[in-house]
Amino acid sequence: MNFWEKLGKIDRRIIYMVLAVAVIVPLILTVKLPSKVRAMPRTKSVFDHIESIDPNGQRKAILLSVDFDPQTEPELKPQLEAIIRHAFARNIPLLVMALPIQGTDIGLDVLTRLAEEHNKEYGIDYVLLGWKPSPVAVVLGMGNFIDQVFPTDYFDTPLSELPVMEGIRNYDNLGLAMDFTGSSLYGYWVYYAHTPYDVPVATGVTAVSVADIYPFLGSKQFVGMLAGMKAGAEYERLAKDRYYPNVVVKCLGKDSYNVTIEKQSYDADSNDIVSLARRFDLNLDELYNTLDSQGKFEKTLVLLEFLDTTTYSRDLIVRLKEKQAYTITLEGQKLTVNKDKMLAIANFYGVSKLKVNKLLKKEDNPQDPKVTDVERSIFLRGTQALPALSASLLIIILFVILGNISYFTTRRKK
Amino acid sequence: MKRRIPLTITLVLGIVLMIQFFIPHQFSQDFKNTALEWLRVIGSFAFIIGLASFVTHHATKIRHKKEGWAYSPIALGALVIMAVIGIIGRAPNMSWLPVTVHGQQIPVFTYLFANFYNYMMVPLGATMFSVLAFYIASAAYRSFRAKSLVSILLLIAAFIIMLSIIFYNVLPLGDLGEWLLSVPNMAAKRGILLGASLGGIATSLKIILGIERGYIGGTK
Repeated sequence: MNFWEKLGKIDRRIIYMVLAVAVIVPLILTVKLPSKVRAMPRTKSVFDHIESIDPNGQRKAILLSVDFDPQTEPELKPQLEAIIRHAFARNIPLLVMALPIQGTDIGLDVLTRLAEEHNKEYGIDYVLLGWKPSPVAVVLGMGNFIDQVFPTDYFDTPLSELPVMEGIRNYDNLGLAMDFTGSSLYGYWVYYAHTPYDVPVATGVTAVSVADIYPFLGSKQFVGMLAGMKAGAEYERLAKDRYYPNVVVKCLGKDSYNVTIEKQSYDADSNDIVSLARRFDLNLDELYNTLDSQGKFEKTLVLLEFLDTTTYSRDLIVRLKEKQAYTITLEGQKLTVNKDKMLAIANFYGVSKLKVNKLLKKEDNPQDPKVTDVERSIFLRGTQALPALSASLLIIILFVILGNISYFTTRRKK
Repeated sequence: MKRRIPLTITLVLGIVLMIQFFIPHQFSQDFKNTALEWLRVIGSFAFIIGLASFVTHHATKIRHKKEGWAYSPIALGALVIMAVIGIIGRAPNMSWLPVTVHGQQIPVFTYLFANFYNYMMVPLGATMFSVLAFYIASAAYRSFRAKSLVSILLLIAAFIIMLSIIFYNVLPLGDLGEWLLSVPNMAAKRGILLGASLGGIATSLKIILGIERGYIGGTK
């Protein structure tokens, strides 16, 4: 047997081993991702649609249907988490349900974790409706009255007693209904929710189902689609670029950080502030705007101590500890970082550093209790798995090429 | 009579619910709501039938010692254990036998149900699905050959789609992959979908009119 013939008869155990290594190595190593991710149009349109929902205008909720089981969880959970985080970041009321019964446990797990990260409260910001049999009847019935199909939530509390359900009666009060499924359940939402009730619907599916969804995208029956783990990663990055542009994303590897937050009250004189601002390239215009007529103001120090703190941020922490205390905002965002938000951001994105570029007048109560040593144990699921997905696809392409080279070379020689 | 009654119910409800869709009157809506409630109730009975079928299938396998019968007691045991734990755990005021987890008191059945699900069903399910990737890689290596024009086109399309997923940010392949999905793929899929939908309408009409009687056990 010559080389070309051997190339065509690689033992399947070797193929399995190579693929296993290709998947495991990128998961263990921390892989640097491009600074910007160009999301596919189908992913971007879901993001844009949720952005267009105005939580302060006519009250509109987002309904998520967790229609998958553990088999497809690795592909669909990153999508579900990314959408929930986006909804929480925009303060949009969230309703979560399931058509197959396994979805309720997955939904409960994700909601509990992310609500804690974002400081959201059950019954006020979100609700888990649970599961009811007969998917067609459930999807159709909710078009009339949601509480007719789900009189109580997952924990047997009547929906009428939950503040989150205030003003939300049926599909008319939804900004989006989105289904996450590894099967063809997405069809029910097109046929029985969008068509009769005109509610905007979107879907998150496994990568193998992508081709089946395009007719519905082309006809605008779906506002968009998240396809496979890749879309989960894209969506995570879209949310990050929109809401937390200066936060650095960490993948697996170092997923446990200590976040220490201290609050102080301090009367500073303006020279101290200006000198410190110059030292760290802080925005002076913003700084001057925050000084009151006496040249004094209260500030809060939000201090992050990370295991891999860079020299820059360590220096900044030391300087701030010695000198001043500030409320910090993220570049380009109207987001005052207080204790809760900083916790949420740190937990959410696994930050390794924050760029401080603005100062705002202190709004928090300086007497707030000190919060220390909060353990972080979250990471961006899709972003972290993306390199492994890419590596496995490359390996498959490589083996197909090798198989073809071997086949045609051997045939020519014969 | 055994067949006429279900055939009559199907005919009447099939036609009435079809017409109802086009009538926005309150009476029509109320009728639809009632029908949907019936649908949910009837749907629940499917679980009883499924459970009976599951138990009968595995009991028969064990009784006749059919191939792979040794797995059947495990399947039945898992069914009984999860059902008992789940039913007791969800019962109201079920707070006895508490277990302390992370400083919180949790009823033991709730704790067991969550752990069986999270640490048995989730990894087992995920493993089964993950194994597919290995089979796909091996099968693609052995049989994905560019032997004919059609297979060459398939191979090129597959490569473009896979590469567009990997390099969507950096190469124009991303746009090419998107074009493949949104133009040729969508055209083909739309044709298939229209054909299947027309077939579905025809079958539904046959069921409503009593021509297709497979759902009541045959054509006699």
